[in-house]
Amino acid sequence: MTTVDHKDIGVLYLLTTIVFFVIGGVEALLIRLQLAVPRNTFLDPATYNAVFTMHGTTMIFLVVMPLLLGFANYIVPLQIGARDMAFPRLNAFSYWLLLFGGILLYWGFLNGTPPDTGWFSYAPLSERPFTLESSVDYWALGLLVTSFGTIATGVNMLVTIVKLRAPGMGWFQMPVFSWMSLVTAFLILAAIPSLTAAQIMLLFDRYLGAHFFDPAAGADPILYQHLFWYFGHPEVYIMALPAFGIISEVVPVFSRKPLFGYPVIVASGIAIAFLSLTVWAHHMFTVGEGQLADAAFGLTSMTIAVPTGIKVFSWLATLWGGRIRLTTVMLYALAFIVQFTFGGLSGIHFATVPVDWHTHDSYYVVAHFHYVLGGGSLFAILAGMHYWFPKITGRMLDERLGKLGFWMMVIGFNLVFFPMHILGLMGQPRRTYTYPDLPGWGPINFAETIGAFIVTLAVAVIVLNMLRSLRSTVRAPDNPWNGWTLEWATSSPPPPENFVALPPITSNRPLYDLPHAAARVAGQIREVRWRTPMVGIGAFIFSEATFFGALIAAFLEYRTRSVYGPSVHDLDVPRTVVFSLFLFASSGTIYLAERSLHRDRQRGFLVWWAVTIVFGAIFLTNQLLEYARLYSEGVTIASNLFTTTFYTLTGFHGLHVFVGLIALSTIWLLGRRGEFRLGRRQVAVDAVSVYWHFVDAVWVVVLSLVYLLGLVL
Amino acid sequence: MSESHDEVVHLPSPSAWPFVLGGGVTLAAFGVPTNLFFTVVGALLVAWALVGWIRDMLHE
Repeated sequence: MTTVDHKDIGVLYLLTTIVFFVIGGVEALLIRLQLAVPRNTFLDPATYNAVFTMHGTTMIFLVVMPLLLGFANYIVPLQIGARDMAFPRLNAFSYWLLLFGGILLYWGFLNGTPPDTGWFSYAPLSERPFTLESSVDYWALGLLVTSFGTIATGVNMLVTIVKLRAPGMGWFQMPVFSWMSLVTAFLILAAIPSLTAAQIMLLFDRYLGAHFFDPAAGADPILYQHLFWYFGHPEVYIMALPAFGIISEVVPVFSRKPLFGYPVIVASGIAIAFLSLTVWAHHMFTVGEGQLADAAFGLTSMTIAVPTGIKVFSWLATLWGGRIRLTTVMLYALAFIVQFTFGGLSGIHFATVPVDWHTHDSYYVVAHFHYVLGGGSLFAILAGMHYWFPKITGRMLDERLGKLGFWMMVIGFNLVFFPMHILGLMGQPRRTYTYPDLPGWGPINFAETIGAFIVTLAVAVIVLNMLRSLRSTVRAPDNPWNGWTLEWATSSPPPPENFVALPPITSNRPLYDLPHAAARVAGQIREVRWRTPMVGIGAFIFSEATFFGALIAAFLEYRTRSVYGPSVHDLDVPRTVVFSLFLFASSGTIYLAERSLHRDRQRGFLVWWAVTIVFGAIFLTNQLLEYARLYSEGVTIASNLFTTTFYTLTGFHGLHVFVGLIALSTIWLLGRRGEFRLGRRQVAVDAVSVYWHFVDAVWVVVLSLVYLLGLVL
Repeated sequence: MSESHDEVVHLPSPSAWPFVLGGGVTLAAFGVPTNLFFTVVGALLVAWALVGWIRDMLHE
């Protein structure tokens, strides 16, 4: 309960996600049992809805994503030769949020109101009139909690990789798994806050009577889909990029060749991350976005196939001419390459708009994303588990049992999901609790159910293999696979401090260079000049910008769509502009405070810092008074669409000012105790200061868009 | 960059504050669909954990 060691936390992640995997797996079995024969009555429609909702939500948010983050937690600090993550306690905090958020999600399940609106809980189905009970609330709140943890992990991972690499490890001496974890961290910060914003809007609609997704007030429920998929598609790559990283580690080691085209593999990973932020609306071709939008999003979606294809060809070229060792690890990696490519190809079908119209919401979609996330990510995870198991536990897995598990997994997996392509093309809709006895449907579905049970047996074999190995007394060697990256340069399992001594690092394969006496000279590594906490606050601000971006997008989209009620003319613009000056001035005073501190003038620091607090408090007080005035005039968040977006946007900004004031006051109290004398802990002051500047900058945008723009137009 | 290898390795000491803070945040969220009493307790836990966390940092 108190550990902050990245290896312990990594193991906790893995154990927790395995438990959730079993739960999500049982839900999958229930689905397959219900669908085994036509017109089955094993599950009633309501239970079926709950089961597939929980299956999807569990597998994505509580299994695949945290499993990969768990690996990153354990492996990345080792691969880059670091002692731990940059912020070990924040790391522990992330883990607890995953566990507690998962329990909160399942609380609804346990008390009889399970979430049942699908893993994306589209509005308006998830709105109060259509879902009265608290089921959606547990979905939204549970995921809000886990998302905070994921964002914290994104910050932590990014800072760790940017700042804590061992001497000599420049960007292009970094193992690919660490590279992909870095790119994933960026995507987490860029995408997850959009989901957070959508869920907060949904909760505001449900609890405060707001109108974000209420067509009667002029709102557009499609906004929910945009916000959801702006998160949802990058999420696919948050679950795929680390998997690419694992495969890029495994394939070279078991081919005894360096990775073909290392820089291209890295560059294509970065390209995928950026492109994945531009494709979200391909999940929404059937809502009718117009030809231009359809064409644009179809094009960007197809473009992603290029960097992804480059990766596949790089792996194949690595295999070509290599001395391939067909261990269990390698088998999983090879199956990944085949199955993931298969899933990628059906993805291109969905990028083709007319094909998408025909196959949307059919089992073709279910087949596609299970090939990507099951045949892809899950197989990569299994490759990683078998690969790093000796390092993590100090025990070897049995190869014969491993291969038995692998073959059962491959056969079972493909038996479940391959026929779904056919059923989808035949027209079987997804998310429907049963189906009519049409020619061919019954036998194909029955075969899929048999496949699901083979997968279950495969999981049992894999778990049994692990338990058997854990009980064995035979120790694993430090480097059983002759790997080349730094995690294999320490004992299995590693000591608490990770390394006794690091080998020299001159390439991305330091352990290969060691006996080969590489004549290379370590390149001059340019260090990132920002101090560690400053990189952290920068990353955090980046995720905050996404969050505010979503709120601002909602405000702009709805600015002129209120069909009745208050508008910008009910706001006291001149007064707000005057009080805004206090906030803007506080950016100047905090700068003066910092300047005093850097010259070790404690008194000047405390005075200017106090002025900053007072200015911030004046601004916030005025905002509260304005709210009070508006409420007394009957202008509430529930009044109309304008007030809904107005209160949410300005309210969240106000909340940030409030949090900032607490942080400022804490710094001031510590400063009075002399905690920042002689340059000590100055970075804490600088971090709070940067946050405060950010809060000010957001207000510049909000003031311009909400108050000033509204008057001009 | 990481520290050089001849100095004494400094590893952060174990801490229960991340656990308490995580519990506080979750309890606060749990209160929304059930009873705001839990939200209040959760918020108090958050405050307690933050104070403890910062105190620990000052002792390093």
